[in-house]
Amino acid sequence: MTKRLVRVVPFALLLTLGGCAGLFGPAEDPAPIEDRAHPRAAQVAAAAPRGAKTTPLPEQPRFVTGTVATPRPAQGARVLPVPQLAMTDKSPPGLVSSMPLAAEPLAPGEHAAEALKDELAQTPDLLPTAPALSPAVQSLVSAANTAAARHDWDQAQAALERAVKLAPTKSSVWRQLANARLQSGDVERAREVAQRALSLAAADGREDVAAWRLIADIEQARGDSGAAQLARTTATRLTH
Amino acid sequence: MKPFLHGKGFYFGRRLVGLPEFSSIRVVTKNSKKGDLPSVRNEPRIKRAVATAPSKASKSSQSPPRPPRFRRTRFFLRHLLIWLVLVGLAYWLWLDREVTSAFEHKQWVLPARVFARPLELYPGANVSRDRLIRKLETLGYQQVAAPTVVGQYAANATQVEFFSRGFKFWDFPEAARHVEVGFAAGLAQTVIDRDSGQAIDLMRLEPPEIGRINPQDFEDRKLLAFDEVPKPFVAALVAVEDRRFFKHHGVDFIGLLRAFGVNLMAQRVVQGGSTLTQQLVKNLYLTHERTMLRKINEMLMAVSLERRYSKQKIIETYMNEVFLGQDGNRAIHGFELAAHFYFAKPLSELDWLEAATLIGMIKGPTLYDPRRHPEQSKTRRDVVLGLLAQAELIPPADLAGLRKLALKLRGGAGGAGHEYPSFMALVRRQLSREYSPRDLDAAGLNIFTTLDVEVQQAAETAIRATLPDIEKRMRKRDLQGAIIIVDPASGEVLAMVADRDPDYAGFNRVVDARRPIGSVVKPLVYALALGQPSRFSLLTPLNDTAVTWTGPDGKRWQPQNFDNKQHGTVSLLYALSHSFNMATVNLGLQLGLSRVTTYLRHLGVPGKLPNYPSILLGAIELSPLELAEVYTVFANDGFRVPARVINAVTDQNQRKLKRYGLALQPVMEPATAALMRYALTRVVAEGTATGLAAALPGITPLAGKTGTSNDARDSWFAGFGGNLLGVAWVGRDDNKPTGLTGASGAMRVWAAAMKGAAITPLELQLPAAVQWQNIDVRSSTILPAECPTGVAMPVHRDSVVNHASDCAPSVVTPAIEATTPPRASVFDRLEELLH
Repeated sequence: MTKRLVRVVPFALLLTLGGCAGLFGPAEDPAPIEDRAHPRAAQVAAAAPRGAKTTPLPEQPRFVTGTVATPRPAQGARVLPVPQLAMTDKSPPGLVSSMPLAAEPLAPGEHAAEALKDELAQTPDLLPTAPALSPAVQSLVSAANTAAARHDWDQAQAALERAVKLAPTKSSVWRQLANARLQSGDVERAREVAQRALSLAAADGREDVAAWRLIADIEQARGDSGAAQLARTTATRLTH
Repeated sequence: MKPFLHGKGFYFGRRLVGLPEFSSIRVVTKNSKKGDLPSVRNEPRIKRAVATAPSKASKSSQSPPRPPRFRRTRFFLRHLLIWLVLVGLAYWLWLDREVTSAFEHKQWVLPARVFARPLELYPGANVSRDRLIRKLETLGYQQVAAPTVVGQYAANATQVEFFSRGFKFWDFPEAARHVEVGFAAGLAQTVIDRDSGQAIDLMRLEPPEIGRINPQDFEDRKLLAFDEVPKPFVAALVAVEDRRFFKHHGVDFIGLLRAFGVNLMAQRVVQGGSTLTQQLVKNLYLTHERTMLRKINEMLMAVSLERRYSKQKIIETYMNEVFLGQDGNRAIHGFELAAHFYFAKPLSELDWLEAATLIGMIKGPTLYDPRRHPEQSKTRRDVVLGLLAQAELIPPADLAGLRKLALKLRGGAGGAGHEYPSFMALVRRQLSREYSPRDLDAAGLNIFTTLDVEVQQAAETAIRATLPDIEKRMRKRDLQGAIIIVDPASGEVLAMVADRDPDYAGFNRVVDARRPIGSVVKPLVYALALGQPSRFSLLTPLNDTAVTWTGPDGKRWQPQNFDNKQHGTVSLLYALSHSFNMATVNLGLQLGLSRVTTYLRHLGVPGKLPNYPSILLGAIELSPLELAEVYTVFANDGFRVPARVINAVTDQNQRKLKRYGLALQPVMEPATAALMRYALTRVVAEGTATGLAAALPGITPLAGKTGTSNDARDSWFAGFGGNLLGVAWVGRDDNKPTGLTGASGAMRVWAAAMKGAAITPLELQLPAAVQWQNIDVRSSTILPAECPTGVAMPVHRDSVVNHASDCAPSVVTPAIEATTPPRASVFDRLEELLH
């Protein structure tokens, strides 16, 4: 194969030289090339607006990126003729799409969870924000709420996990994380986090009531109505 | 392809020449009538080619009487040419198909990139001015008087202003911003977006890249889309390498001719006539041998590429492919990576000197390597600058000034995966369970790890400095050390050093070295007791008296205290803080050995647990990582947090593939954990770890426990503050005694690391079941709140503790008189301090 190639190729050279001479001669018959997907550089160069992108000043040599810079046209700077063509799909990945909840592997007691989700979806205050959070934590909780409104529970969890790292002793943030996990159908891991919320509730205002209520929901979702009832009673007792 | 080559090639090779029957081909006869060439698709071009090339043939046609020999020659030449062209055309078409399909499906080899955690900025963040500046510097930000573009910062005494670059994180994208941070009292007090004037609630800087998951030898690159490359850079590249790039169609004959002329004049190869497209083709598909065949293929393929793809696509691919140096076993490809590798910043932030250096390197990546050959590199750079001035990209007037400037190189080492070897090994281990080697080596994954570069550096410095110091002072040799630091709330591993040389990628002592943990186990035993608050409190008297245990085989075991003394009846708290062995064994036997082992299992102690009372004193082998996980239980109100090294993985396009969520296991009552946390602060305040106060002045309370295994073979310290939890180990690889206690060995490493990592004091928050009480230590009674002699101590509401009626209770309450052991001499006290 290679040997034969070697024999053939010199002839190809002839063809190329000849063919190329025809191709690149003074623009007589550029038909097969003119069909390209992009306009010829020269045409675009003529059309390119002057002064849009300029080369930087030498005293502070630096490229103009076009993002934040405010370029001043330099004397004698030349505009580079470059056809503007989108090369790649540059659309930002954006916030990651939520996984359809139904496609989640179903845990035992998920029917209850499913029912609960519907119920919770109707309550407007899905992830109620507690007071006395720092602006940083608050901004993450808000981001989580935005994600939760889209039913993007993974994103909501991501924001709330960042929040608990910033404020590891805030019961309310842990509780909201537990809620996001419950919503996503991850009942067991929701339970662990809810217990964490409860362990911190005493030091965080009237968080204990909310924590117990959430635990009641989680136990219900797990199918343990006894435990759910107990948690609910505890919550009720704490309110009075 | 194969059949074609086989058939025609065969004819060409063996039978065409000298075989008259070939003349009977129809095409030939038809054309000979017309006296012209066959009408192929590319007729005009071929016409011209014929007109110039076989001049002999055309000349001969003018002389009427031709001898038959000439006629035959002309016949041959003409038909030969026809066939050549046909075959050449077919060959070209084949090449065209090959090259475009390869180009279309071009898969960049992109090794997985590993990032450390980003610095978070928000009002009140524990970030000092110096720390932020350090961080910006390591991220390649440039200090200027007034920042105007991305990647610049300015600083004065109380403020830092910068243009952040922004980053596509796995969860929320971080925008590029103009930020001003105001500092007071060592904290970032205000974080303001200068463009909007609004306060920024929370933002992240770019995560530092700490390495690659890579095979032995690998190509490394960072992809840039054409639009992301600064236009002047493209212009400069074109000006230097291929002036007519935007005019030619793959092969630049004018350039070739010029190069030929120049080389002829100079009588050596001064200029190459290769276009960027040809160079790209060469890099992508061809070998580096210099043969005519390769050159021809290169030209044909270049023309093919140009036919199919836009100039942008071609130059984009070129800029991502070009080889620009070698870093050990890592080949630096593409301008973006090269910019990071040589100048520690993205391509978009390079200045002309840096850009000229990189562009100059294309000609000889090794020869013009600015690190290895700074002189040649500078010479070449100045040549390039000249070309740029010629092209009016830089004002010619500035040329001389620019040429005088020296080049500043930054970054470099690192990124190859040589840094933080023990941490990276753990990351790699976890990834290899979930991704194929192929994905890790080439699929361009982004791995967001938990490593905190600053904490890591503090840990490395601690190991590097402390071990030789201990050796010198204590006259020891061959000490080894390991330390792991985690975020107690999330289990995220912030730092890990597994060798006294932190850069050495060897045995991972943090993960794989299981050694007896000694007294570090004691808090687990005491926690089992305190978990029964109606039976035990911190004030419960324990007997620190001789104890003998006879095993089922009749073997007798008689533990001794470190100071070989008995301390009589002591409080549970005192026994723990002073790490009394006999009191602990008595307590453990009282609790029941099997219950203790069950409890240890429950807390997540892995491995073998012999049903033998020596486990009460730490005859249990754990790795520092495992021990750190166990200690998160105390720091986290009884929740065990598994250590994690990866937060998320995204693909090449920053789409989230996987997020590793926080995991928690409730294994201990929050009340018990709170009591233990307090007890561990007493170890530091008055027990075996009092030396910590000198190493970390003002940072109190801190919780911790020393540990020394049999014959002082292993020295341990496990402890935590508000923000960090760490476990340090010092010992010898040959397991010989070191003569070091937990306090004189591992604790010193721990303290040095935690100081560098800025540990914060612990906040002793109590759950509802535990309350602060005013305690008289001597009588172990609760004093009335107003008594000044008492100390605050947490007591579980279910615990039975006597209440004193006045501020001076007599010490006659049951079995308390001996609780405070005699502190006879200074020497006794010293010994206590030591273990």
